[in-house]
Amino acid sequence: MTTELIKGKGPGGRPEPDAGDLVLDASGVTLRFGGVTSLDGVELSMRRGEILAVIGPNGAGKTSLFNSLTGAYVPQEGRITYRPRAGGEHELRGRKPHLVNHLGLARTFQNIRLFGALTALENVKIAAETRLKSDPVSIMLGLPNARRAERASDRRAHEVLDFVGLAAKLNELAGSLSYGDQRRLEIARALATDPQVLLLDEPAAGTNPTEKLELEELIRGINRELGVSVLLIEHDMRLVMSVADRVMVLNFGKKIAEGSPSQVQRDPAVVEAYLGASAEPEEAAEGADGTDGGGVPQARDGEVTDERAAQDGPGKDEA
Amino acid sequence: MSAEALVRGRAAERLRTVRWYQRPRWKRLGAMIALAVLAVMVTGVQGTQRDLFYALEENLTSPLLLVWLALTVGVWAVREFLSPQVKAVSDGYRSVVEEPRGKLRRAWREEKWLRWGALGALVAAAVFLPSGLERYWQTVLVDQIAIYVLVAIGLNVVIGWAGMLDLGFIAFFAIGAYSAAYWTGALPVQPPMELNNFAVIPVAIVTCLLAGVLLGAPTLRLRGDYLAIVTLGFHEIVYLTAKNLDDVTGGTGGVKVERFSLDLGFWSYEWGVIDPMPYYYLLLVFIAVVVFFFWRLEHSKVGRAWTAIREDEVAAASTGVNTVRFKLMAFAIGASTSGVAGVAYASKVGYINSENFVILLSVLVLAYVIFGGMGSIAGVLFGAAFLVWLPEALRDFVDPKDRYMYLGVLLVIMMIYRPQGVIPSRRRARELKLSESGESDADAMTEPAGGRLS
Amino acid sequence: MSLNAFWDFLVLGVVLGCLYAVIAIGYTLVYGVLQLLNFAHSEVFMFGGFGGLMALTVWAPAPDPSGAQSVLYVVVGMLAGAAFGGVVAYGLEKVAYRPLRRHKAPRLVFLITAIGASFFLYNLAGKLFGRNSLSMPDMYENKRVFSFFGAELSVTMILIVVSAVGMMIGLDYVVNRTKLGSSIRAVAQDPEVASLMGVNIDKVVSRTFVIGGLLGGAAGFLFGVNNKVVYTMGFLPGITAFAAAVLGGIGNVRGAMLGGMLLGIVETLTVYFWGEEWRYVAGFAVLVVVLMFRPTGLLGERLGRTA
Repeated sequence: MTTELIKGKGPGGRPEPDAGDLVLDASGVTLRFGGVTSLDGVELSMRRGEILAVIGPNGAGKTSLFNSLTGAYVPQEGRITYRPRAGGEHELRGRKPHLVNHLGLARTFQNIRLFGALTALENVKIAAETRLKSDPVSIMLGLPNARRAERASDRRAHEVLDFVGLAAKLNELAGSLSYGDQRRLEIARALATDPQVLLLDEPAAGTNPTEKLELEELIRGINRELGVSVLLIEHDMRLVMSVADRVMVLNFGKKIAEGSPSQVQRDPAVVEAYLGASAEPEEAAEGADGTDGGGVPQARDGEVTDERAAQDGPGKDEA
Repeated sequence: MSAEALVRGRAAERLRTVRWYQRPRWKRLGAMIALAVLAVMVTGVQGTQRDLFYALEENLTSPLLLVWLALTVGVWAVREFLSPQVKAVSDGYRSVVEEPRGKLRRAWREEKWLRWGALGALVAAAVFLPSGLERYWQTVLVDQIAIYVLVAIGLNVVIGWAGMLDLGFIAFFAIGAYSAAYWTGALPVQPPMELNNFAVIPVAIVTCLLAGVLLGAPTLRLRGDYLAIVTLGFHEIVYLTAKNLDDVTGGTGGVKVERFSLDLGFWSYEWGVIDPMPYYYLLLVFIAVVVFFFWRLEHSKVGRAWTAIREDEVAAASTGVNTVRFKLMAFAIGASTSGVAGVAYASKVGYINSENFVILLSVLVLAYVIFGGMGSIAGVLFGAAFLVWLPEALRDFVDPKDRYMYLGVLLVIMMIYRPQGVIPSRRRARELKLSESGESDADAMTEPAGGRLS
Repeated sequence: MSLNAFWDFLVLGVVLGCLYAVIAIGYTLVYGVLQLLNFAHSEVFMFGGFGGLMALTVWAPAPDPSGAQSVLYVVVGMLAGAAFGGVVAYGLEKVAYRPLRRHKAPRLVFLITAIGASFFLYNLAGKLFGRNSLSMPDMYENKRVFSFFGAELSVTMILIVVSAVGMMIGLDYVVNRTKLGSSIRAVAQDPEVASLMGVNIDKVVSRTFVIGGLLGGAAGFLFGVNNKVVYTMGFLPGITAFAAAVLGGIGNVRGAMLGGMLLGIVETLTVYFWGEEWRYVAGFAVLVVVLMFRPTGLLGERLGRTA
């Protein structure tokens, strides 16, 4: 277990993402709920060390893609190959969520899912501890290895919280943090598992402009200083354009475009997709903010809601 | 045209008018009267088999009904008509109590010595007070209170910490007790080698651990309420097996089990038949050890992982927590605690039969944990001790057959007004609050993270 | 044992299965709208038995009833049972569950409330009506009507099968063809959307409980005719019927019917092969096996989709 956050690359020393070195390589990913096809043969190739943004109108299948990558859903068809830095290849399709996480993919949720009754520190410790070995018997007996693990998780949690800028709010309950801080804490929790790929599901939804700027810095920092590849779903186009190396566009469960932010912006298919769904991208972002920000009460189980919504029609699977 | 409007206007008016009996106030009066009738049924006479209507008639004509009516209607009247005055009085009372209470609370939270002092006083009381009790109460203390406290602490791990409902917890208690009987050679079937009662404890722990894993492994992947029903079924199967296979278990006729004894060569001791106190101290040690171990678990990685699973299983799994493993762990740890209690029970009472392990007991233990406060060790200790003691204490006032009825009412009322229990765990109380605002789950009853569509 | 005895048991299984099916519908309906395992439904069933008994005690059947009289007695008993069941279910929802729904209690809290309510109800019945088994008065001569593959069918058996099938057809109609049925299905599918569409959720939930209670109460009366009435009679049939509901796919009305039938047959065949004392082990064993291999039940879950 390494407690070092910064792995090898110093600040600013990010290696240029290499087009041939794919950390995530998915092809033909197809996910259906009953009669509704939520993802239709989606291709995704993510270079090691890049920030790749996934955009698309509401219901395009972005969150379904995340759920498929992280094991929450099992797509009926397709391959999702993950190549960790250490070498080797892993097929992610059908792998259980916690095993996907152990391989090095960590995620956040569109509708923040923290452990609200625990403190910020405890939230992060839970994540850090999944990488530490200690069994219940040695914990009960207070054996040295259990104590060591406890100290290590504490140290790591402090480091991560420092990094995201929540050092002052260690002992506050996660549920009582401000919205922006909750987003940060969720990112911290994901980072504590020492991921190689970080999947952020609309991290800017519901945050104010200042928080958005801070978030932008944070995402860059995670990418540059920690050398983590970032896959980002975001409706806020300004954020996407400024932070992403490349952008991929989904619509109705299909990839319709991919390329640098400026390329994608000019792509007629993308313009049409957005005009077809709503007047302009900014507005789509507004809509998303409205639903995520907590106006509509969430059902007991987010996964089930997603599923049900998907069954109700293709236009709602991310509501 | 205007005639039509007039008719419509009248109809609208009729629709708008609220009849007197539709007003909430009078509806509430009706509810209170119904409550009085129910209360008189609960507190009234026992029915007989000869006349089906005896109890109903008796109760509805008894003066007790008037008492209850006066009480409930009185409460209603005060709430409806005198609420400002009542509020003033209660506010006055609160303002008087507020300050000292706040101070006490702060001191309790901040001063370490206060908590340690209280703990020391309680332990001292637990050690020294019982020797002054009558023999009857000593027996109650050992045979029932101490044993069920141990069982309840085990169930607390499953329900209070991991958030899973286990309705067959006494099955593991039975497995422990029958292990004790088997390995000490008390059953009709003989073991490969006879063990001392103390040596049976680790064996029982392992047996219950295995039983817990065997039962849990297939079911913990399912939705939580299925677990409840499967554990109930498991209990019924264990119970019926114990009852029906009487050439193996002794069935309802029961078997005699040896009592605790220790022979270390240089020192030996036998826990006798008559004096319950030596057993009491032994059980006190068991409880203390278990509480200490579990307290450590709660404040460790394991306890945090359980909380995470309880609150949001999907998020926990995405964070890398192996949810099935931790749930299974809770299940197995709880089961083995119950098994230890079973060994202790068999070795104290010296006789077991299948009727010691009826389904009712599983529900009772559940009630103890919930009443005291799920997830809080102090709460569970209190809940079990109090609720085992209460029926004994009320023996002379309430028909013992009615106890479970009151227990049922208690559970419902608790769940409606104080679901966190008498001495709640801080995490639990916060979760229930979050759940009310729709942000969290507070139990592992929904679809598990691993059980996905494919 | 002879083949005749086997057929006897099989027919008994179908009769028992009809009862289980009717009770299982109560579980499944409530589960459909609330995702709640209503443990106390078994007490609704028990009170139905006492309701029928009380009606037939007040209005005692004549010693030698004619055919028409017999039918009347049975109808009265069944209506009284259904009425009792409906009232208890209504009260249960109103007193125990509604406050919890108000403050969005977690599922665990619901489940514990259900257990508490069940405890209260059956002990109350024990207190009010005595704790001994009581027989229903004779409403007809329970003679053999005809035999089927050597299995003998008595009046009681035919009565149970006919009324249970009647109730199931009626319920299927209500759920699939009426306005109430469609609002029940709407709530089962998505309570939020249903309420946005103008469905009064409280009312629908309450009525769903009542429907389940009516069926459960009537089944309680029929069960009492076949066996006896006692305050603990709810527990085991209740659990078995719940297992039946899960077996068929909880939340699925037709699944509950199918599951009930199957479990009834499995149970009597267990008795046939291994003996009476293992009777209830069968139900639980089936439940565990189903949950392990096909947790969504035979016909799949959800009231909205399949019913």
